[in-house]
Amino acid sequence: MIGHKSGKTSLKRKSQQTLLFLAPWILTFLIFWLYPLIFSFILSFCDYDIFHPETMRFSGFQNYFRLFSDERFVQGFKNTVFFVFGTTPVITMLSLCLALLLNNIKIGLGFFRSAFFLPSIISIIVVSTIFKFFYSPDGSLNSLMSFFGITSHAWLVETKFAMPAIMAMNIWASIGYYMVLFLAALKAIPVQLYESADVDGAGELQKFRYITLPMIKPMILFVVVINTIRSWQVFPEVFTLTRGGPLGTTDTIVHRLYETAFRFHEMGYSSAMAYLLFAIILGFSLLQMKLLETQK
Amino acid sequence: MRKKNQLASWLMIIFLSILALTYLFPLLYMVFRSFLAGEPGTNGGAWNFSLESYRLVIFGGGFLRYTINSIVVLLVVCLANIVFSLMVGYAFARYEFPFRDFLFGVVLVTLMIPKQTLMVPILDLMVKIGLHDSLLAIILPFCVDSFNVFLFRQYIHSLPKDLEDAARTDGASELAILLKVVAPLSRPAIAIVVVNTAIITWNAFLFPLILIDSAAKRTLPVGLAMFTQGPYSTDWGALMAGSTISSLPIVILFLIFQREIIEGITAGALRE
Repeated sequence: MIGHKSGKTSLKRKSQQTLLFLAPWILTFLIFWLYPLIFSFILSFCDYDIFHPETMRFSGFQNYFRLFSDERFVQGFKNTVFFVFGTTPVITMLSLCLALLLNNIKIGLGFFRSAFFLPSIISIIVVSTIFKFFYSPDGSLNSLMSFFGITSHAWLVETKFAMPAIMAMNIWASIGYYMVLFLAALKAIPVQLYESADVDGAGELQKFRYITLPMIKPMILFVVVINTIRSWQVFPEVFTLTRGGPLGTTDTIVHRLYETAFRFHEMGYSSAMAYLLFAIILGFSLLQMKLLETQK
Repeated sequence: MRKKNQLASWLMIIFLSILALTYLFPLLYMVFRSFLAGEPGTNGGAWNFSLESYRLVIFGGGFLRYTINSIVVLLVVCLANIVFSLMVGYAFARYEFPFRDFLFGVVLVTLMIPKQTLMVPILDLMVKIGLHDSLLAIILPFCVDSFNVFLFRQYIHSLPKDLEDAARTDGASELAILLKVVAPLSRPAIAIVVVNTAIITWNAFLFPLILIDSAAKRTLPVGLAMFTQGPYSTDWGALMAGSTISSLPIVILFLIFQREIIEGITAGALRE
């Protein structure tokens, strides 16, 4: 009888203990994930100004329809697509090449890996500030160009160059990070595979084509997907360098979202943008999960 | 043959050194330019090295304040993540409770949600509870990072249970087991959590941008972003000094914890 009772209390104590340990996450999840998700979902069907909450009213799918007719948003969307498909393949290629180079050296690997990795831990705002200087009319890029006899440009002010300039900067800042991932994948390839290929008299190119490439294919897919997900959210560099200009040529989805919410105070409309972004990223995340599954 | 190989490998190292130097040129130039006062070349082409730009940004640009704010946020968020994420990760790894696997699935799902979806409601919430424009607003939402919970759960799951059970038979409380048995064994995971959290928190931009209004409460990235658009927007020496100050702590951290950071990044790739 007594044993039964103490068993019950210890069970109760145990579940209290569990709840206590889980509490920080449960609170964070409810307050900073679930509630905001539901609230912004509701907002996306409403007109809402955060500083005038009393004017909130239901507007149905109007915010979502507006996305398609809003020229500035459509332009921002197209720019983002251009950014995603312009940077991701280049970053993947360059970081893979760099990883292949580093994979070959016998001494100083750690040093070079750290050297190339360094820019990816630097704040994107710092990177943008440096490149703002680099791209300025009296900056280093023009000095370099004039050395080769090419005319000077205001890189961030001319509509033709602003977006490619931001993309080039982003490529520079991202390569090291993905190189580290590729290097980890390359180091994980069993040496025996190469040794037996040597015995069979395979050349370097053949070894790359038939051993290296198939072995790192999962990592390539992984890098492409996570890089794509990141690129859809491009914002701080646009905010720091151009604020979407010139003539909206560097506007992006998140920059439109920011402006709509915090400059024009249209919280409902901005929530519709946020949910569209959410849907796109969820799609790529599910793709990533599928890829991870097939890897196992 | 061997000599030829050695020559090739030295050539490779020289090539990589030049490549690395070129690649790092923007960062090296940032540091170099931050020590030049005024416009280079105006003084008969000579370079004037001075700390003028640092004096300007620290005392005139508010970078001292931004640095202190950044350090405070970094310390609190890192500490909170060690304690809370370890607790939660431990519970997920060791306790039996209803819906455990479902809830852990929820942890993983939150990793896929873009934070931009949450920013308007979180700002709205912070305004309502009066925390808007305070450092707490950019600390509280990030005290239990889902990725850290995931990392601790996986790590603790791979540890043997014997020591915990032995402590339990000795009558140790669960909290004591967590702090005295699990935490010391989890040191490698803690290191990865700390460096990951430190880098992300130090460089965080979006939430500090929308949740903080007053200049005195800005963190370094927001302070720098605003500085590039303020009256000093073409004072390159000052901008580079501000950039150098913003990067220095994280670069030092990187130089000390290279191995953990690279390991953490490889593990952290999962979080995106």
